[in-house]
Amino acid sequence: MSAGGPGGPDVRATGGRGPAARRRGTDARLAFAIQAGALGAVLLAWHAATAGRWVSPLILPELPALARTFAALIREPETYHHVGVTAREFGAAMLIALGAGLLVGVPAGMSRYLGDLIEPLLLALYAIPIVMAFPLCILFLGIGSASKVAFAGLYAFFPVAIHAFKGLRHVDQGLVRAAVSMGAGRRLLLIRVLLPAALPVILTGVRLGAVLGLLSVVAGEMLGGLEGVGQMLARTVEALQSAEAFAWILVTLIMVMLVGGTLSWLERRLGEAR
Amino acid sequence: MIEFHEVGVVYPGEQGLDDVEALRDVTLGVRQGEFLALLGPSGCGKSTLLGLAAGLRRPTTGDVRVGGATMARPRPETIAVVFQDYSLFPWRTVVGNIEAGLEFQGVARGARRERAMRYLRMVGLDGFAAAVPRQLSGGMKQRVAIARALALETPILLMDEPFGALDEQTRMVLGEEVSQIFARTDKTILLVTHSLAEAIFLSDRIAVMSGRPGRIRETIEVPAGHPRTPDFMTSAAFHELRDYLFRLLHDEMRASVLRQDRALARDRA
Repeated sequence: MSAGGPGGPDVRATGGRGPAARRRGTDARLAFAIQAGALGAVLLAWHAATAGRWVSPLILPELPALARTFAALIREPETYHHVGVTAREFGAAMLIALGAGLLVGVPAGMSRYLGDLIEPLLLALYAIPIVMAFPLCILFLGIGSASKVAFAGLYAFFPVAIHAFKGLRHVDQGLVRAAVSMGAGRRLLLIRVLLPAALPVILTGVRLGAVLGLLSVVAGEMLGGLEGVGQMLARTVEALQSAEAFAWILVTLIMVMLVGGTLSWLERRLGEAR
Repeated sequence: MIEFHEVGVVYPGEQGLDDVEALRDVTLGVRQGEFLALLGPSGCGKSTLLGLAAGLRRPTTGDVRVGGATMARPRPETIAVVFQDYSLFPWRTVVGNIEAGLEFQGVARGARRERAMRYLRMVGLDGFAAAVPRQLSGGMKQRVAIARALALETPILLMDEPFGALDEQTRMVLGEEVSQIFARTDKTILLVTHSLAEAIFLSDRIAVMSGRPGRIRETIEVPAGHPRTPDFMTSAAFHELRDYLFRLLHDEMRASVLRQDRALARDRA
């Protein structure tokens, strides 16, 4: 059952193919052509520079060599060991960031007093380059996975906490008033009104935190670690194996795009449902 | 059933501004089973008065009692509220919105769907149970909000400008429907409105309010039974009452505008 019945009041939901939709379609195709063109131009310049030996293959690999190395890399079981290490570190970091971020952001968003207390602190801390905490993480937690988890968890915590706080604070007060008038207590108000209403904003924070978190894990592995995609990237660069290094960059990019893309898609789906 | 006794409300002024006296010395009773309309110019404190009856705020002075007990917090088992801006949850379906109200009120899970559908049928929207609010017109959203309030099955219903955001035609049609529905219930209803026709068409008694600080200026009985048909709107009694209210409110609105002018002039000096 939907609102499309006889005399249905609204066709927006059906996403009609009106003139406006067609115009949007053309714009999107044009934008895509420009984007693809720009990417093609960069690859062409890359190819020209390396094939013509203007740039040493020690620094920039030839594209066919990169393609071969990447194809070999993704067939190598060892690769998935490193991807798995990074993914596990990222997953643990996100669990910490989500848990701590919601634990701080949700109460701060629900109580005006707590929010006024916590918001300046959060924003001030977020403005500090958190990279500075990395040597401390190594010092406290060693060179293994724990230091990466802590570092990335710290990085991802801030967007999650700040967005949870803002999302909850700016929930339509009319909805809150209506729920309270119908008898909603604090618990039902939180799970049935505040969290669902703030969910799109919270998800934006999670997406920002996740992308930052994954990059932080990789950066942490690069700066000092034993395994993981970041460490492999750092090692291959040091060994001047440029094709291998760029293949690891590709692997990392794919991971970032998977995480960011999935969360963007979720965000859009949620936005459309409203 | 609802009693306001010498009620005053003062909002503390923000950032160096003077305190705002929204209501002064309001004494008014709504009898059991009565449909009372609060009519007044915008900013006269009529919505504040409704918020007091809903238990959503407390008076600065005086006493608000419902069923003999002082209102300190919302009482969802006794009082349901329909808000001007519908306040539907956009992430829930139409039927889900009504079920949410029942969940908040404490109705057992198993009984919610059937009851929600019953009230959706009453407002003629059972075909839209699975739609989301975004897909509905303003009039349909307001009918969902009314169904949500009715489904709580409270003896008292408060409505804050429920048709305020709708166009004239939708208002009339919805007003008729509401009149039919309310003729079949024995609810005590308090309606806040600034529409003369709406107040006369729907209510048993009209309390006319004066501007800031809001006070009850006069209460007037509407000499007609329920349910009312559109014929009532063309009757002589309707027009007489409308003319009378118009003169009363016209003076009131002029006075309220002049008061604002004087206050501004004083602030300048």
